[in-house]
Amino acid sequence: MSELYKKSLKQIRDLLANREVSVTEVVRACIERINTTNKQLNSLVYVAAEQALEQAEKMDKEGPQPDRALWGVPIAVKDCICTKDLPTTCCSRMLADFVPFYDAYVVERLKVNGAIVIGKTNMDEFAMGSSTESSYFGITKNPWNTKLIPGGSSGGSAVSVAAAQCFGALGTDTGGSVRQPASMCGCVGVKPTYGRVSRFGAIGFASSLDQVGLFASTTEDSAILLEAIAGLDERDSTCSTRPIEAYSQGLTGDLKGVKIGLPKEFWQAGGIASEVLGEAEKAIDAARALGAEIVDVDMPHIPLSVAAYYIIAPAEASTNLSKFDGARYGFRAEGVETLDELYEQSRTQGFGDEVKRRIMLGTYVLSSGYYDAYYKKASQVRRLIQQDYLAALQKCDLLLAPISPVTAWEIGKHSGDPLKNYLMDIFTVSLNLAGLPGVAIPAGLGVESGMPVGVQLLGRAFDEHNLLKAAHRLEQAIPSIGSPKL
Amino acid sequence: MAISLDDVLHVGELSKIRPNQEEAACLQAQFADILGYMERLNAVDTGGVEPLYSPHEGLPAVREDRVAKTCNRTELLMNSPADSEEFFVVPRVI
Repeated sequence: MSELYKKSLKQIRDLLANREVSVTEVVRACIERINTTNKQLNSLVYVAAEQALEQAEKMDKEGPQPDRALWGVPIAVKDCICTKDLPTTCCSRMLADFVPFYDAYVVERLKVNGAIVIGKTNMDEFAMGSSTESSYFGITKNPWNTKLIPGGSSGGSAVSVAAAQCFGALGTDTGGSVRQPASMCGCVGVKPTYGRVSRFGAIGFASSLDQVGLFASTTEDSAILLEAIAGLDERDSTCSTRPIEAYSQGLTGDLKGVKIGLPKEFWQAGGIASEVLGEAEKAIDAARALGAEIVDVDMPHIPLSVAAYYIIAPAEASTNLSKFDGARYGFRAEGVETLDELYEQSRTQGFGDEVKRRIMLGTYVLSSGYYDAYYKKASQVRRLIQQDYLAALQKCDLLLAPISPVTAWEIGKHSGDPLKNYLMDIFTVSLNLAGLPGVAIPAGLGVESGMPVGVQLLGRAFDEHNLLKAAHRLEQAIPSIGSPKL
Repeated sequence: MAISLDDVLHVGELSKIRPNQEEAACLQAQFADILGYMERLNAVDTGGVEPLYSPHEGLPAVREDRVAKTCNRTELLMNSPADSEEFFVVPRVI
């Protein structure tokens, strides 16, 4: 069967289940696609070709197992998520040679469901960035225009899905790192509610904000993947005990009776490119045409979200990353004589500039004399932001908002100006501060740049099913943006 | 709040990161820029607002307290930069 890589996750799963294609054929199709595109895109930093083919051969001998939702489906995994016997580097020199002896919970779930890990995806070092430019293994390119960034930090996962190297990918979203690259690469991205998906084995950046999420080419595929990776895990004490809904069921229908809020502080923020507004407004029109009631809502503290986030996230990063000291795993500097030098030199040489900047910034805001002024203050504002969300979502069933003020920008455009980069996260970080779920879907291609523009649907805690239903209905109503030409 | 070069070096010391002079000067300028932006938080009255440190505000889930073998020594030493096959090896401390 030709061009297998063009199929959706659901299509390939059904073909596999009916034995219309073999797992080996599907895995080979992905490897061929990776071989022809990865040099140009640098979306995968490790390709598990040999392991995947070996696994495929074994599965073909055993035959399809209909109770395993992802049986034989190749999935890519962000490089900060631990994969047993496969490198897991966070795209940092610090972990360049690190190979875990265990799987993250989400990877266990992929395997239980029969998926095949096809490779590890590129990312901003330790997930700190919005452009996938800070990877130790080089920049990932946007498949729609390789002169542009793919977004980040899970840029490799977004590109891998958009370029059809795999049928779905896992990422992490600490401040928009799934939704923003999904928007810039034209795929669907899901950031679940904090606690819906176990973080066990996902290398922590900011533990109160991190959430494992996913990328797929359709909302239906996203629902299948979320259903597979969600669940209760006793190794993550923040994991919810709420039952998992059958996210992939009941997606069709219209939006009659659904009240969608447009937060003024997002839409009237200023600085949003007109081509972004243009495409996003088409999504609003589509929702209205499907019968949704559209209302404006106030969320007065949203404009403070970048300031609060860039205090809280670096503060948590500074403590999370203190474990990288050159003693037990990871990079160790040579030629040192004392333990103190070992720590200092290993960290100074092992971390890249952005990671060091955030660790130091985080250490500063947590240090004696500044804790109350920065960290406590930001955490109080975080409460106010959460209250804004709760109030808005009491009035509405869900919210619809832009994801990035601009489409993908040129590689190198903001390097050397960290604050400018941080400000690009204005529409994504507040959701992580509040711990709520969001689904990013493509809305169109910008009229000036021709690059993908996404919108995000934001919902109540653990309301992923309704979010996915609404996203699916909108996706059906919005004309497809097609695929990048590679 | 102004941040001095000494502040940057002190934070480096606390973080176990040693920027060179040029990097420290660059960080000082960037921190001034970033922390300057954070000042906008001071305009908000947060009197009486309980800080939100995590969206998970319930009690942490606890598992049954039972003995379980999670990993062995060989696995734990697998990624060590230097070990004696029994222990991690670091520069002499005493």
